Parts: sequence; C-alpha cells; structure tokens
Amino acid sequence: MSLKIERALEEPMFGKLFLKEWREKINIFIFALIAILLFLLVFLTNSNERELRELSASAMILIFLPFVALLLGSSGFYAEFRDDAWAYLFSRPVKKWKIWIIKYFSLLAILFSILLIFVLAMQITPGLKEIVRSLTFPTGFERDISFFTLGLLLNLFFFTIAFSISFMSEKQFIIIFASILIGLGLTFVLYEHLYFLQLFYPYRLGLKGIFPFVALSFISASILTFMKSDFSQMRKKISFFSKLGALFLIISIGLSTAWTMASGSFIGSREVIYNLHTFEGDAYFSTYKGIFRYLPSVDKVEKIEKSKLTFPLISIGGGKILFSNYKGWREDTQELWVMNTDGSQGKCLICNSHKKDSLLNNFHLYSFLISPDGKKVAFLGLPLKKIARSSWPNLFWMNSDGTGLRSMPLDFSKINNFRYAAWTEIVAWAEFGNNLVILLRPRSGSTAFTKILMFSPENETYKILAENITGPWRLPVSEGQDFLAFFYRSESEEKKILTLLNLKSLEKKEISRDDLIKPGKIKWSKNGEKIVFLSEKNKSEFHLVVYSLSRQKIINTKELNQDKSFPFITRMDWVFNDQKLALGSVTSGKGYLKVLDKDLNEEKRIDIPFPAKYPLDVWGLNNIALIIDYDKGELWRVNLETEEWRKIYEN
Amino acid sequence: MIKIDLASFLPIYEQIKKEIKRKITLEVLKPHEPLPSIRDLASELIINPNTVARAYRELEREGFIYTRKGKGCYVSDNSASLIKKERDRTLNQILDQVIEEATKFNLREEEIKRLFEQRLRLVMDEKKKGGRDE
Amino acid sequence: MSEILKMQNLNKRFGRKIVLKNFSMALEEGKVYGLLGKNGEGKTTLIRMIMGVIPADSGEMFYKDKKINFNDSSYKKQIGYIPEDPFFFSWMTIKELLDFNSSFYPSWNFRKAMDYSERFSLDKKTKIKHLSRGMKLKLGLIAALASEPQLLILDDPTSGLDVPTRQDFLKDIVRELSDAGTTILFSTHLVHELERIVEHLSILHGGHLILDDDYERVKDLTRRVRMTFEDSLPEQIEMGGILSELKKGNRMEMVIYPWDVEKERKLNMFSPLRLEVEPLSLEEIFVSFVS
Repeated sequence: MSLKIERALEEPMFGKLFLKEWREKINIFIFALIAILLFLLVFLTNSNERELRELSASAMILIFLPFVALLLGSSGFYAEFRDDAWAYLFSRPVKKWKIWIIKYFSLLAILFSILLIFVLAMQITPGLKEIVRSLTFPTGFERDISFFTLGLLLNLFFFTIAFSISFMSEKQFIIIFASILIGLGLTFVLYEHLYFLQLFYPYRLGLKGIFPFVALSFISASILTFMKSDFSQMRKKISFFSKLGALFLIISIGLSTAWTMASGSFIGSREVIYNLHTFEGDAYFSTYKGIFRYLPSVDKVEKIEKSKLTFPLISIGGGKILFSNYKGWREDTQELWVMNTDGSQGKCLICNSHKKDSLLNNFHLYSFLISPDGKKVAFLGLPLKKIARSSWPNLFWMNSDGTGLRSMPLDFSKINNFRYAAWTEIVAWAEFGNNLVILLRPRSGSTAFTKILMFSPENETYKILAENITGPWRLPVSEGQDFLAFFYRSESEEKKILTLLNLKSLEKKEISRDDLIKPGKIKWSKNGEKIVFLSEKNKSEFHLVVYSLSRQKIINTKELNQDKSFPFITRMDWVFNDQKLALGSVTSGKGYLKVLDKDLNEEKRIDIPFPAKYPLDVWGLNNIALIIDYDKGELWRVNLETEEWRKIYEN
Repeated sequence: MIKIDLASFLPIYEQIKKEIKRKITLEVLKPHEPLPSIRDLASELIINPNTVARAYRELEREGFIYTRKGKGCYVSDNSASLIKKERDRTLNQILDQVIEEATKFNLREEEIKRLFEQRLRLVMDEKKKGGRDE
Repeated sequence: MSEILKMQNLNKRFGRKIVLKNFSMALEEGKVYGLLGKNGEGKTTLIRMIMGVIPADSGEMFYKDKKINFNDSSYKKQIGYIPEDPFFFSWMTIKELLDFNSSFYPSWNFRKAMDYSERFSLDKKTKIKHLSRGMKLKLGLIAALASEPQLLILDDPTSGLDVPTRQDFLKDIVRELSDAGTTILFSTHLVHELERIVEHLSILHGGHLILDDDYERVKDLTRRVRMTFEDSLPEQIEMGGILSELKKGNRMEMVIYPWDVEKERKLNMFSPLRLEVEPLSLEEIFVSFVS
C-alpha cells in the first residue's frame, strides 16, 4: 500500500520535469515552426518549379529537421549547466537515471511534435506529399530508401547521440559538432560494414535493423556515465563515457548483425515457384531453396542445386542448366552457373563479378540463354547504377566450360525510332549457335516499335527479322529453340498477324485470322511440330486452334465455354506425346483440369485439389500434368490416367 | 534585556543564568512571574534554543525556577532568598580564602578587618571615579 | 541519541588534488554542527557528496544507520539543503520554483511555504534571474524548510550578504530549531554567526577533521596566553597543544588547546613577569587551528 502511495507521489515530479523541459526548449520549437512555415511559403509560391520544390523539400527533410533534432538533443543539459542548476537537480530526491529518462523523452516529445507538424503540413499542402514520396536514395541494398524514412531515422539517430553526450560539455556547439562527427562517422562505418558483409551473405541485412542497437548502446553508456561519474569533472565523464560507449557499440553492432542475419528474410518471396520448364520429358523449377527437377519416370522431385537462388531465371539446353545466383545480398555479387541437368558438375562461369578488374564489374546480368547444344552461353548486362539503367546493355557470351568470355556494348540507336535505349532481351540462339535473336522493345510509348533482330556477335552485324511486334510479352520459343512465334501488326491490315519463324532457315509463316488471337496462350508441342493457341471472337466466344507446321494449316479448332466471372483464359500444354491437350480452367469459382483429345473434345475433367484463386498454369509431361498452387507455393502433379493427385513440392 | 557576551570566559548558558538571577535579585523578575519562553529568548538573543533550555534546566534544578507543563517557566517563590544564599555562599568561600591567607601571615582579627575596610574604600572610590557600570 | 548521519573514511580527489582523505564524521540528532574550514578545503565537496550530487571515490555514508549509495534518493526527502551559490533555474518564477520543488517532497508544507513567502515579502511572480542575492537566500531557505526536513545542511549560504541579512537568516534558523529540533550541519568560513548557535565544532583541514568536539568544551579548553618576560624570551617551550606562537620583543603570545592547570604551572616555571589567560572567539579558535 505504501508503495502505491510512493509511486503516486512520484507522478507530480515527472509532470513537472516534463513541463520544465518544454518551457526551457520552447525557443527551438518556435524556431522550427517558423522554418517550416517559411518552407511552406517557398513551396507554395513556386508551384511551377519542380526542381526548386524538390530541392527545398530534400533540404528540409534531410538537413534542417535533423539539425533541429541535433539542437534539441544537444540542449539536453544546457539549462542545468548555465544556471549551475545541475547540483540543485541532483540534490533532489530523485534517481539520476530517472532524470535522464524523463529529459530524454520530454525532448523526444518536442521533436515528435515538430515532425508531426511537418507531416500535417505534408498532408495539407498540395503537392508536397507527392514530391516527398518521389524522393528516394539508392542504398545499394534491397531497395532504395525514401528520403522521408531516411530523414526520420536521421532525426532519431542524431537526437539520441546528441542527447547522450550533451552533459559532457557546457558549450552546446561542441556537442553539436561532436554529434555530427560521431553520427556521420558511425553511419559511414556501419554502411561499409554492412556493404562488406553483404558480399557473402544472401539474406536481407538492413541498416534499419542495426541503428536502433547503436542508439541503444549510446543511451546505456550515457545513463551509466550519468549515474556513476562526477558531473563536475568533465574529463572523467568523457573518458568514462568513451570507454563504455565503445564497448557497448562493439557489442551492439555484433549482436545486431547476428540478429539481423538470423532473422533476415530472404530476398524475394519464399513462397514462389519460379520458372517451371519442361525439357525432354522432365520438369525443372526453381524456388528460394534451390533448383529442383521432377522425373515423371520415378515420380520424384530431386534437388539438383542447393544454393539459395535469388534470381529465378533458368535456361536449359543441351543437357545443361544455366542459372543465376546471388552470393550475397548486394547487387554486384551476382554469379552465373552452369551444371548438368542432374545437378552434377556445377561450374561457376561468372564469379566475383564485383571485383574491379572483372569484365562484369557493376553490371546487373539478365536475359541469359544457353545454346540448344549446351555449348555456348549468352547474357546481357545493364549498369547497376540506377541512373544509368536507361542505357543500352552490354552483350556477353562465352563457352559453357567457362572459357572465352567476350563482351560488347550494344547500341541499336541507329535503328530508327529508338531515341532512348530500348529494353533488350535475348530470345534465342539461331543458326547453329552462332547468332542470337534479340528483341528490342521501346521503354516508353507504344510497343508498336518492338523489333526482333538476328545479331551476329562475331561480325557485329544485325539483320532485322520483324518489326511492329505486338506480342506476346514472352515470345514463345519451341523446346529446341527451333521456332519462334509472335504477333505483329502489319501496315496494310489493322489486325495482328501470328507469325511463326523458323530459327534455322529464317522462314516465316503467317497465320492470319479474322478473329483476335489471344496473345498470351500459345504453346508449342514438344516436338515443335504443332502449335496451339487461343482466339477470341466477340469477347465471349473463345476458340482453341491447333496449327500444324508440317501440314502448314490449321488442323483443329474448338469453341470453349468460359466462366464469365473469370474472363481471362487459363493455360494449357500438350500431353500424351503431343496427342492431347491438358487445359486448366475455372468454372464458377472452381478449378478444373480438362483433358482434350486430338479432336479437342473434352475427354475428362479432373478437379483441382486446391481453391482456384489464380489462373491455372499447366505443364504437360506425357501422362502427367503439373499445376502450381501460387497461393501456397506448392507444386502438384496429377496422373492423367488414374486422376491421382500428389503434392510434389511444398515450402 | 538580557545581554550576552560571546567573547566572555563564561559560557552563554551561564551568562543567561547569571542575568536571570540578577533580575530576580533586583526584583525585576518577581516570584511566580513567567520567564520568556525558550523560543522567544533564543529568537531575541539569536542563539541556540538548546542553550536557553540548558540554562533554564539548571536554574530549575537549582530551584530558582519551576516549570508548569505547557505554560512555561516561572520564578520560584523563594528564588530571591536562594539567590542570596548562593551569593553568600560564593562570597563566603572567597572571604574564607582571604581569611585563611591572612592568618597564614599571622594577622590578627582587627588587622584583617582594617585591611578589608581600607581596601573596600579604595575600590569603591575608584569605581565611582571610573563611572563604569558593571 | 541516535546518529542521523554518519560518514566513514570518505576519500575524494580532483585530478591530483586530494580533497578528502579518510574523512569520518557522525552527526547526532537534534544538534547544531559547525563545519569550519578554509575556502576550497573540501567543505562544499563533502556536502555535495552527502547530497548525492557527486560521488565519493571511496568510503561509506549512512543515514539513520542505513547505508546510502550514490544513486539512492529517498533519504534526501528528509534533508533540506541550502547551498553557497544560488543554483535555481533562472527562468522560473518564485512560485514556479516552489511548485517545482514541492513535487519532490511528500512532506512539503504548503502553508509554511506561503507563510515564509509572506514574511519575506517575496513577490511570487518575480523571476529568479531578477532576484538579489539576499532574496535568493530567502528563497533557498523556504525551499529547504518547507519540506520540514529532519536534517538541514547549509553550505555557506550567507557569504556575500550584509550583516542585517545574515542576522535575519540566523533568526529564521533559530526559529526553525525551536520549532522542530532539526539537526543542522552548518558549513561556513564566516564564523561569527555560527558562534551563537553551534553546539558541536568540526574543523576540516588537510582532507580530514583536525577537531571534532563539543563546542563548549573546545571554548573552555582553548586559551590565549600572553606572557611578558623581563629579559629575553625562552628559547623553546616544550609543551603539547600549542596551536600558535607569536613573539614580539619581550612579549609572547600563544594559543593553547587544551588548556589546564598543569600547563599553567609549566609556563609559570619560565618565570614570566606577567601571565594573562583569555578565552578566544570562535573565529580566533578557527584561525589558530588551521594556521
């Protein structure tokens, strides 16, 4: 009971101490308010000058407000020093650590009020919120950090440091100066520390996770110094604090690094199954755990690559798999590997791309492709610095045994209509692996100017194969990289024409129809002889069409009934040795796998064993069909004869 | 007005005692009259109340004053006579010493008497001349 | 009588300067203690240590037999403290300061604070930075006394003030003593006022107490002895307790503690023409002890 009374009696003391802080530091508050008002004035009267607005907003968030935080923090014990009132305060019946804590939080409250006012201003002032949102800062890590978040962190960080050292000197400007030094120095050290760590470590490490620990170590060192040392002796205070602070700092950085490493989330999503390819009767896919392959002959999934994949693309050809990996979190730790389809003989083609003398230094590698015979590898690289990304990529190619790495910058700006660098992709190897089919897609404006070229790296010559390509987004290539299908809009006719390109002979075959061919759903048969696609008549009538390359004509069409509530058509693949089709569809919210015979009649309908939330992708391997449950990141296989389902991969 | 001399040989409480006794003798303080409270006297003299308390305690022990609970200290009935007794006792002590010394010098009674009167006259005259008030 | 405050073997140094060395002292409840010492000799340091403002390097302190550590705060609720230099927050008004102060002490007597303020004619709305030294002292007095402390510690609060103010201050202290019987630790180098109320005398010199005794006893036993000789002065007088010695021509002056008949006899053996013994004021006692 007496304890309660005692506690209750302590309340008025805290309230008084809190109010005292506000009274003493009200000047800083008013100063900040005036500055914000001035800023708003500048902002509002210059509504046309975006650069000025951005500059002033950045200055406010990154420089001025943290400076206010610095002022507040450093003013922590100013009144006590100035009036020699520290002896008065210490001789009161109140524990010293309580004095520290109350002061800290009182000043923090003032800081938050100022920030709150600024946030309010952001909400009210037209245009300010958008501009602030647009300001970001590249960190070289996961994603850019917004100025606002950075500013907030800076505020807290500098405030805490300044306050923690504020009783070490009577002169406020010394505290401010020292805080800036310590703050910037620490930030630099931590940044380098993390940057270095992320060289090896694939988990997401954020500076955000470490800063609180650093701040905590300052706080504890400060409170302990406050409690133990003689306030009247400056030098002793400083030396005590420095020793303690350094110790705590090292421990906290170590601990927090270990903690963020342990709890670090993997880059990208854990649940996704990327990139399922079927190749020569087996299926290959990648997840965050590595690369897997499914062998229908033994109905088993085996892991063929254990490393934590961070880049989902894999390319298969000639009995080999080409894939990319990040050794650490940093963008420049990208690696390129090649291995046999059973996972053996893994060889790192590109390692240590971050090394300064490496050809691939500072490039982000993408769009890699292995030749059909597995002997050559080609890929593109874009400069890592964001600003420079809208530039032409470099082309790299080498042998799959790791030798012969060559590179050349691509520049197709001479091809008309490419004012800025186009999005470039390698689509296929052609002409017996000596040339590359490259897709160029303009970044802005209509995709009507998308072209594909045949490019010869040896001679550095190119030939335009087709222009005005409208789709599909991912050009469907047959399994052996023999054929390519695409749409283009011809100048004479308004509609889009489906074209099949023979990559060996460069012959084109056009398939034109009156109705609209749905660009997304085109599947080559495994032997590359047939192609099936979907066409749409009147926004509600859909037809499945099969075209035979050998017979050079459409050999089958079938109208489909679709669920009106699920407007986009689900996907399909060839099964039973290219004789039948397996189609995934949704009717009344329920998912089905339909098997169509060679006349495209529905042979059977098999229920999907999970709720169909997303369009169903189907892959066919003879009498097996594979479906991904994207919601849970699980892979199912069904025996199309026995209709038996089995989950073959889960997280 | 009680006056105290900080430089004196005599401790303050002794001085207070002496003063009070003097006042009783001069009948400034009459029997059953209240003495100033400890608080008031200490305040007036700007001294430690304990000092006043000690003086009063000893005066009470010696019988010059008595305490009435809650009301304070008062002059005793027989305080005047007590003081006279004490005075006599003190003077007698000194006189006895003088007489003892004199007999050692083999002075007779009359010679002692004559010596004493001579001396008394001399000292009294000087006092009158000096005009010093004690 | 119980001990309200006890200090044992306190040590404190500032850099190379040792201010307190094995300092020990005990205060009995209800008495007035005078702590004398030259300026800069450690009185303020000691008091600051008692009040938990700065820590001791080593040693222990007990308040009512309970050990007090640097970070303990509850014992301070029973202590009133008036320091040498006024040290309040200059922006506060008198009312604000008293208000602020009251929140720390559960035993704060608002009535008393008000009475004192009225008696001192302090305008509550005046800011502390506009107060004279004397007014600040009064405010310090209110702040210390309104919490009805059991122990009052005064660290030379009256230096730099005129005599009437000092007298008034003393009167207030005396009044407080009469009413509450507060234990007082009065540290000062202006000994004149202390003389009137001190009961126990402690002299701090060289980092510890060179004298720690009942004041009456000390006063009783300290004497100035003036001797006049016919011819030359004796070369050396071998005697304990000579605090100071002054020789001038055929006259000699000594301050001796402790004085007794034995010493008087010894001095008489040197056959002085005249031997005069007189008491000393507290000031003189202090000077003799520390020089």
